[in-house]
Amino acid sequence: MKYLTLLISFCVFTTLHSQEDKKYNGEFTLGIRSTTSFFDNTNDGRPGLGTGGNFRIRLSDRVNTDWFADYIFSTTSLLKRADYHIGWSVLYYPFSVQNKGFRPYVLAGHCFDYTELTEISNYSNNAHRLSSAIQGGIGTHYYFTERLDVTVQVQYMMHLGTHLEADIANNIVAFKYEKGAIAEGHLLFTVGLNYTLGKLWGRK
Amino acid sequence: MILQSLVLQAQDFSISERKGTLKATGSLYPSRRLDSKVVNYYVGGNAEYFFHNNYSFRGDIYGLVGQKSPLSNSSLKTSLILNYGFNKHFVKNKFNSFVGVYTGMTCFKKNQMDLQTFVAVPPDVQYVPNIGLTVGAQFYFYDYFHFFAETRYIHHRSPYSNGNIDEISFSAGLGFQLSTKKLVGKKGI
Repeated sequence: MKYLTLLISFCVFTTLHSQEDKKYNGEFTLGIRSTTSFFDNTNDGRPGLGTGGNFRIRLSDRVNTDWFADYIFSTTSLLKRADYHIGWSVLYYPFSVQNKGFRPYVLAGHCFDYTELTEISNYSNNAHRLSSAIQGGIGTHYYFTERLDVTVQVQYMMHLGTHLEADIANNIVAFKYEKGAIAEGHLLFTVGLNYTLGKLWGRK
Repeated sequence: MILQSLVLQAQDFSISERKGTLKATGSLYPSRRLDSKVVNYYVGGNAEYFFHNNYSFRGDIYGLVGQKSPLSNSSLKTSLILNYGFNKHFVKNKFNSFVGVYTGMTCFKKNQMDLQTFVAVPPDVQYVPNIGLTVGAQFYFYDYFHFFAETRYIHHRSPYSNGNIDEISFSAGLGFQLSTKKLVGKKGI
């Protein structure tokens, strides 16, 4: 509940700020991205590799929204893990607002998360769960042109629902579910390329 | 008919004024896997759109048509690669060199056999994300055609172990381009 309150407060704060400047409001940006996921377990310290896409709708000069979908895959010698994320984030630009050079931001958001764990040598031994998550982090855009940018961001995603975990003993894999494990999550490092197609509103 | 219609609508192409240009290419892509001595042969192609004179968006698709392996029959095959990304172009005279970054999905197929009856069963299919880097060059010699040569590094995680399956591919051939915007007061190539 505390995390949801923080998220809602952040959204309200950024929405109030969004009334200020209107040069870039309505910008619609489309992009591709690859996310590396650093999990606490099941990957032997090897990060998962992902592919996905996103679009951004800019509410004001300082506030943007990012809508994304990712597929992240990782393996160990015994397990494979697939994560599907679909969600949104609010981005707030505390410094530069112009579409040139670096434009750092802080972000917070929400996502739906489907996770599948499978034993590689025995596909019938698998487990999956659908949950919700919240995420927060920092990032920056770097503009090659006024419309094309590369985005680098780091965020921590915390799951709000059931926690899925693999127990491995003597090469025997068992899966278990734990409820209320909000601290379970992963660190996500994302690199994306985005192109601004135009403005949805606010065209002069 | 579609091609004919596109050609009729196409405008002169200028290498320095490429914004709005649409390109397409099909070719054979021999590819060497870095985790083994397997050589894959893909047939595929790409379509590319220049939204800026120096930047473009490109999508590629390759299908496996052959494989050369030191083993008599490699059980793991990269059957289909799909990716998309952005290219940055550097122009000098009629030459255009470029570098691009991509992401996408790869479909792996693994042949399987029933160990009791020794009869082949349907292959296991896995979809794995990929990332890639491409460098290449093009030579524009006509309003609608260019030659190209490019090499691509592509990285995947193995779907069956804690390892990587990386490939380097090479391709060269003929490409086709159309300008979708009219050049005002400028000549083509």
